[in-house]
Amino acid sequence: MRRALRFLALLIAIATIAWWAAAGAPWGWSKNSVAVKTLDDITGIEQITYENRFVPGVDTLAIGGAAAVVLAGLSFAFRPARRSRNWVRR
Amino acid sequence: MFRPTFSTASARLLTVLVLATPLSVRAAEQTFDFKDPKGVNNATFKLDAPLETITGSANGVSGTLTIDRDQPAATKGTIVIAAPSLHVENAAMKEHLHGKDWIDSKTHPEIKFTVTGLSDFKMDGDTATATVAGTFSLKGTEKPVAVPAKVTLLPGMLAKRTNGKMEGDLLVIRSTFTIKRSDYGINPAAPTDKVADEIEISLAIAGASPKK
Repeated sequence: MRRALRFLALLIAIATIAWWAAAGAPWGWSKNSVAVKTLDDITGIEQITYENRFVPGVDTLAIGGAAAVVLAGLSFAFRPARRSRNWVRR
Repeated sequence: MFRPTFSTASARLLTVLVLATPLSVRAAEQTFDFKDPKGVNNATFKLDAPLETITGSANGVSGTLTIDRDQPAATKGTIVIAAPSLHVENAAMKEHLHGKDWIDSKTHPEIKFTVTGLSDFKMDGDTATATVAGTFSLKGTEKPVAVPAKVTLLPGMLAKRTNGKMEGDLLVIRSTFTIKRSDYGINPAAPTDKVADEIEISLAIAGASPKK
């Protein structure tokens, strides 16, 4: 259990960092929509529309990091598995 | 055969003169409607604080401007931005933005720029630069402002934009100016290191003046 929790914590930490880095490592808050700009060729005005897409920000990174720390911390609540005496005698 | 008498001819001439006079006087005056069914017109805003930069936009633009090419200083009209159309990319931030402490878009659904005149008018071909004087109204507070603007007239381009459905001219206005959120009661208690007091607003709008 102890080892499983630590493995899960490491997995969450790596996955969160990888997800955040793949999104361009943005230092702002997470986004639920992303601006898409298209040029109106007659007026020369950039039209702004929004695409519903989640982009992780520092808050997502913090939540992922916190989850990893909690899981890693929780792992200390379990005693390490000991080899049984019978096995030693053998 | 009907031969017009002197009085009939005079009456006709008088009618033509009466009808023609206001037209010639108003020939240089043109009204542009900024309601944009394509949703291209927009206003963007930026609050650049040391710890956080907030950007967003609004596309609910409407209003009209009447421009007299012979007397540009007499330009008047109102540009309205629908406050509910303000958008930021973070959903929680957007909810706060529209809340009572911030824009309060339910109680104050319109952000208005009432143009009262132009000054420093400089013409270069179909493009002009000017200082636009007027009042800016936001969250129930009205303040006089004078902002720089670049105005481009696109004669006959409405047909191209509407795929030939309508003939007329387009007027493109671009303006960037700064207001203070504390002047308009937009959460003045919010710390300025996180939310800047200065709001940079950029308008990029096109108005249509169909031929009648």
